[in-house]
Amino acid sequence: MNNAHMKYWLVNALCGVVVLILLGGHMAGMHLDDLLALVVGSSTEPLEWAEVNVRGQSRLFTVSYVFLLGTALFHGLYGLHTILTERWSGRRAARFILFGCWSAGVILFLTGTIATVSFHLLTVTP
Amino acid sequence: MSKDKKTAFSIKRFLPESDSAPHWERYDIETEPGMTVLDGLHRIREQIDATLSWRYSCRMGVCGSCAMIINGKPGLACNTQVHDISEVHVRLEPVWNFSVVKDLVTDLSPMFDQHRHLKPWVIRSDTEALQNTQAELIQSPAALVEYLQFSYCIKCAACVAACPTVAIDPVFAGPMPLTAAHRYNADSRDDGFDQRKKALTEHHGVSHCHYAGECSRVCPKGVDPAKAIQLMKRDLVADLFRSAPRTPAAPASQVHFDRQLVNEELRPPDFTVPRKSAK
Amino acid sequence: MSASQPKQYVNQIGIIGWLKGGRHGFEGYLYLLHRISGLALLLFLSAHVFVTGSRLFGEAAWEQVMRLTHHPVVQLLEYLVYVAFVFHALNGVRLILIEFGLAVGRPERPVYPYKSSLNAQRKLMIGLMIITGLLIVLGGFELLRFPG
Repeated sequence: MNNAHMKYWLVNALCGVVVLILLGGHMAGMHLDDLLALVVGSSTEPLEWAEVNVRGQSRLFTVSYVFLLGTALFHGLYGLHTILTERWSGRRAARFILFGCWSAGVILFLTGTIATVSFHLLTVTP
Repeated sequence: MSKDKKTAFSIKRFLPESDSAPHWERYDIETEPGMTVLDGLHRIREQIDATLSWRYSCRMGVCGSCAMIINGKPGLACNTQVHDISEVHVRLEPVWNFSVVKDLVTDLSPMFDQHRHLKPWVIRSDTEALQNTQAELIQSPAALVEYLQFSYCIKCAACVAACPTVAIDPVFAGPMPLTAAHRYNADSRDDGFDQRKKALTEHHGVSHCHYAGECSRVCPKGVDPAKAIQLMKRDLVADLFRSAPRTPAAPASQVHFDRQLVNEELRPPDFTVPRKSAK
Repeated sequence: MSASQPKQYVNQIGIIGWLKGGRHGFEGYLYLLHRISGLALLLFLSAHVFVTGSRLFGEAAWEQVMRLTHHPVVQLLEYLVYVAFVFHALNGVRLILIEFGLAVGRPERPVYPYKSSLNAQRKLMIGLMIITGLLIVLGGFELLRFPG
């Protein structure tokens, strides 16, 4: 308990680095694909259904998306928790804010993971 | 500059007996190059309004009494030249984030409570030996530099006024207390890291500093509280991975007085001693 | 503190104080932008989970969602999300290096005019902000093409 603050802070920093890499790749793939095409050759439109299916079939993409979602949610909600506990710094508020952030995180993570994994299973099943 | 040109001083005043909230009042006084804001306040009190209140003492930037907000930036009134700020309009407010007692005087006790809570003194286990001193606590120049800059703090509260976390979080320790904690943690004579670590978890501690850097920007003594806090974060993270207990500080010991050692190794780097032949 | 003590005026400047309290340094404004961009990204992520989750319901559902998001206002907002990410990520790199004590410089004897950790990290900050600007412009070429 003594060092819980620093442990969460450290995990948040590490998640930030992980999100930087994974989300950077995601952004590049989604929004800089035309520019990357100038470098690597031809490219496909990533938001077309066919491409969505290609990523859906890939186990690597599926696992990466779940990992990205988890780390991004932890990092974002840690930040939100920090801002909220600074603005409302009482002990009762602290419990409410902590519960709220964890709940939001669990709900969003489960929603996204179920959607991603289910889609993967749907697309790989012939 | 003609004698007719005056500088307007807008001062946020608050008289607790009659005001429900602070209000701005304007005073026009003559100012000359070389005049400090503190000089301007004295001139206003002498020539216009004797009810104006503020704190001051040394008038030379070492006591920390006269900190206030000068044209939107925390600073000391005594070492801020009026004409460096403006020849036309100077705006003075009491330091932010502290309750106003009267005019430019604020209640700094919350900051000093936080400061005391973090145990800003050397903590050692050999207290009997220190009370019955027979020897010295040796510290090398390199060990001194690790904390010296953070010891120059004059507790003026400019950093606490500037900090955006303090602005919304009354439980946050604040730059000055945290810097004081690091000053002692980094002191090779001190053994209090674990006690301060515990104290830091009881209020919002270092994890609520996000390096806005405002504290170091406004510090009038070059203490660089932002740096102290980040170094303390590094120490606290390193402590998470520590498996062995910390090495205690060296006990007091007799100094073997060696003239060559004194002349060459303990001399400050910018001080030259004429070389004598070694004895 | 006796009952006859005159009342004090509470002077905590709060979030409004960040904006209109006084002048801040450049790093102080970066702090503010980092918080705003972080909140914006979190908000976006919450919606994004549901929007992209629509692919679970087949091609027709996906195409419908894509039609909705191809509105110019939504495209502009998506570009702003991209901008927020680029800034937050690169400023975050700066903060990681600083908050682990790597880019703040060493303790030293203060000599007037005082230099602080702000000076030590400035080159890093400028470099990262230049890269941020470049990536924002590069992203604009793709994300701001109207009609889509």
